[in-house]
Amino acid sequence: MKNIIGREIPAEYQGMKFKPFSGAFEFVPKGSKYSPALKVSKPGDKKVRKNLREALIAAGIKDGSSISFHHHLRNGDYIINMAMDEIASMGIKNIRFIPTALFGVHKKIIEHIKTGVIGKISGSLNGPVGRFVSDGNLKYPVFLRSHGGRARAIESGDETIDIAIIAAPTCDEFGTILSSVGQSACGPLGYAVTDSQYARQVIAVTDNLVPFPAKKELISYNHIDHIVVVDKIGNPGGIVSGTTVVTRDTLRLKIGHYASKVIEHSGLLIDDVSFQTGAGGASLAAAEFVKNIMLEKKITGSFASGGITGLLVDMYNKGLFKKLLDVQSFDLEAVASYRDNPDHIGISASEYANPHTSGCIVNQLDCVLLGATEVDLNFNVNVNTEVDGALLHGIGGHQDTAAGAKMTVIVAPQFRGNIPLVVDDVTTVTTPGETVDVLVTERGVAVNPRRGDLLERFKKCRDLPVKSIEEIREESIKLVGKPEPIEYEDDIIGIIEYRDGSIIDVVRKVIDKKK
Amino acid sequence: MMNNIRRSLLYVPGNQPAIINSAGIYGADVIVFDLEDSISIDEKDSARSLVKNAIINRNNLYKSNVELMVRVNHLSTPFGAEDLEEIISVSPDSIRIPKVESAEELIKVHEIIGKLEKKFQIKTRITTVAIIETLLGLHNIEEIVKKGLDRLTGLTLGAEDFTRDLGTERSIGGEELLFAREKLVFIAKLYNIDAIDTVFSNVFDLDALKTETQFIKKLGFTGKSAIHPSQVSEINSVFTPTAAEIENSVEILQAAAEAKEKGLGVIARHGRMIDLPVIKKSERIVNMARKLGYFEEEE
Amino acid sequence: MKLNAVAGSLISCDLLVEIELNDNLTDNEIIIESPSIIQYGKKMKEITYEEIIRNGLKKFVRIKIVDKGALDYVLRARLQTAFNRIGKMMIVGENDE
Repeated sequence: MKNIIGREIPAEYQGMKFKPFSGAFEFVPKGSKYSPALKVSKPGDKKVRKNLREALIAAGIKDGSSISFHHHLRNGDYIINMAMDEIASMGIKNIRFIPTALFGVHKKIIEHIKTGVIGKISGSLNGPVGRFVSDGNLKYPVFLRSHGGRARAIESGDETIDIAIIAAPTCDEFGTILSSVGQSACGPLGYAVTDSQYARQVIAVTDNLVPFPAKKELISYNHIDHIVVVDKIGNPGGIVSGTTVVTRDTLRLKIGHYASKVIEHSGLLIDDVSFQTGAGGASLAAAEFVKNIMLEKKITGSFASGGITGLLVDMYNKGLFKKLLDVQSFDLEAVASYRDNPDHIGISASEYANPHTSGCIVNQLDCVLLGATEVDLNFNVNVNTEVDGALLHGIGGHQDTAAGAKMTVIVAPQFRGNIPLVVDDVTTVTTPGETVDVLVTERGVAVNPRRGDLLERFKKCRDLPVKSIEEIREESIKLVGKPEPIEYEDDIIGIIEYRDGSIIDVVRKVIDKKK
Repeated sequence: MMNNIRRSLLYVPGNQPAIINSAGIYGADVIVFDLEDSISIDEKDSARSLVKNAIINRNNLYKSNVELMVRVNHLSTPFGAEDLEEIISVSPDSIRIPKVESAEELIKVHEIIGKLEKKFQIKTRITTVAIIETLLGLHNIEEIVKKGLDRLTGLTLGAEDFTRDLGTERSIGGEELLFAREKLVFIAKLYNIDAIDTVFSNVFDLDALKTETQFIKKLGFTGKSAIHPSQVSEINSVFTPTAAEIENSVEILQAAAEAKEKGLGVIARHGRMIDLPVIKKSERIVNMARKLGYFEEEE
Repeated sequence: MKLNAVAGSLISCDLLVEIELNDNLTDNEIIIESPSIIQYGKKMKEITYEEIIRNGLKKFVRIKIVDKGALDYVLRARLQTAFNRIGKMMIVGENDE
């Protein structure tokens, strides 16, 4: 069957029944939230276990258990590899592996897939693991979810977690987790909060055990069952990427400049504006230009949200935002700011972006800047699959912020080498075009026809090269020619869930012509 | 069609595809593909071929109103003649000729261009810009321009080589270049061709670039070369008339036209007499504004 | 006779082309490595054949291309440069004989 944006979705696959995507806000959930089993604790109970193996045994690990991880330690994380190696050495098989995201450091996971320790993956992928899965090396398709969609799936019971393993930069003996201090301080553990609340058992792994009571941040002793102390939970050099510097790449600066003009002329850049941007080159450049416009025009915004960078901290410090709402810190400045500044507030993934709640931050956003690998003529965006059809990237907050913000701006170079951004048909739909308003490249600004109001505003600006998305497509074809289509097998390697739990697209295995 | 405005002239190394691909997005009036100083001797042939193919492909790579200029190697090098042969064959808009020191030298290049235009049946007339980068070149500048007017549309200063020849160094204030700049502007204006200033080499100091550009505009220069894309918009902003200037110029020309219609000898506006140089300046501003598309909506 | 020439680079948006002219070859051979081989491999091969024909070489060549996202004009330019370099070597070679 085809979903509402015309993607072919099987009604059933490997016994799973799929609900096709029917529009960003069409699906109305019924029923109640999932409830994890009750627990009991008595005076004098101890939580600190001798080692990870004891904690895993105490948590009742067995073949087929589902185990979740979070990615705030980013490319410096030791915990995923440490835990999976331990699980492998215990002879456990067929784990359902539920990370919030993976990085290059987690390449080792491939071995655990090969040996059958990991049987299913539900969550994000990245480069090497994505490549391995794309080659058809996992029996079951990977479920990809946005940050908000993952929180929703856990709260609704679509995804149940047997054991959540939380890397804790600091933890008191009773299980209060702090992430603003400690040798591996990394900013708020926004993505791990929902896991801690809904998992059957929760293990905190820390390299900085402190006496009870510590001042609670996002994760409470109320949910922590076991504590394990290790030498190091991560390599600080990889946890944070130093300072996220604004690019000197003139092409991305050009995109950023146009994007800042789009924001300036959108009518949204007024007092109390709220804003989110990623850490990509063009997005950061745009934020830098927006900062200068706000300073010049003396605009005071309301909040900046999402992954917080030093640039947003700088904007806060200059009085351009009143609050920073942070689900994950991207650099050292953000980590320090979360520690020192009461207006720098940690939020959970569910508070950030879960659509099936009484409210999430993305719904309060005026403007978000997002990247893209491909955009089609209906403004559908692909961030998951690469030019060769391989499933190499996660969704992040892409679907969530696009759906929530008043204006969603995609910023991306019009070509990566000879690969065009704007295509007739994206390889995979991550984010539906109905939630995307403007596309900004170094050569043009295209407005979704749904947003005639924005088009009228931008047309009046001499400094914006307004074009239709079809014109951008034509320009691209003139330069690089029409690409030959990718051919696929019937096998599905990935399922792209929309944030509401419906299926927006599936990723099929590419036919390998070399074979 | 090219619009003949030369506020900013962006140098692009001729052997770097990534830079050539995106050279058109920064708003430079002229893209100057370089085959000379930025290309090592081993890669002269590949740069020539790359630039040639980029020019063939210009309709896909660049907007139609961008002027494509090529800085070739000097005829005295083993590369100069082949540069001209290959590049003229694909009809660039203009050639930037390095180290012109005498009228004879320029005439020789013009003759070669003329022959190649015939050989390759080039429909448009390829123009030239002469780089003055030695004391001798500056000494002979008027003769060079006078004899080269059949193709020569601009003069530019090569400051690095010139200061070396002068036995001095470039400074931030640029006092050492003052005489050369003034002389070059004077001759260019006298013969009604473009006066294009030398590059500003500190690509990270955009404020100093702006100060220098404002200064050379005051001297009479009509444009400036850029060595980095980020310099283009700064240069353009200095040389682009403001909305108020455009409006004022339009009114002056209207007053002049009305006076002419009424047969009045004296043109007055707001109680002040407008003389011929003011009218000429207004014409220049309105002309540039038109070429930059300021009046598109009304037309 | 066996001659080799390279042109281009492995920098993004460029490509490295290597032409081998070898009397032992019985046909032209083209090997292309490219991130967009699915989308543009066929077109790149066509362009390469066009340039072989345009060059008018009377011998077979083996051409290896390592693409880093080059546009068509870059491919043509790099092939032309490599062919010219081969051509110059042949002239030198003939003078030697």
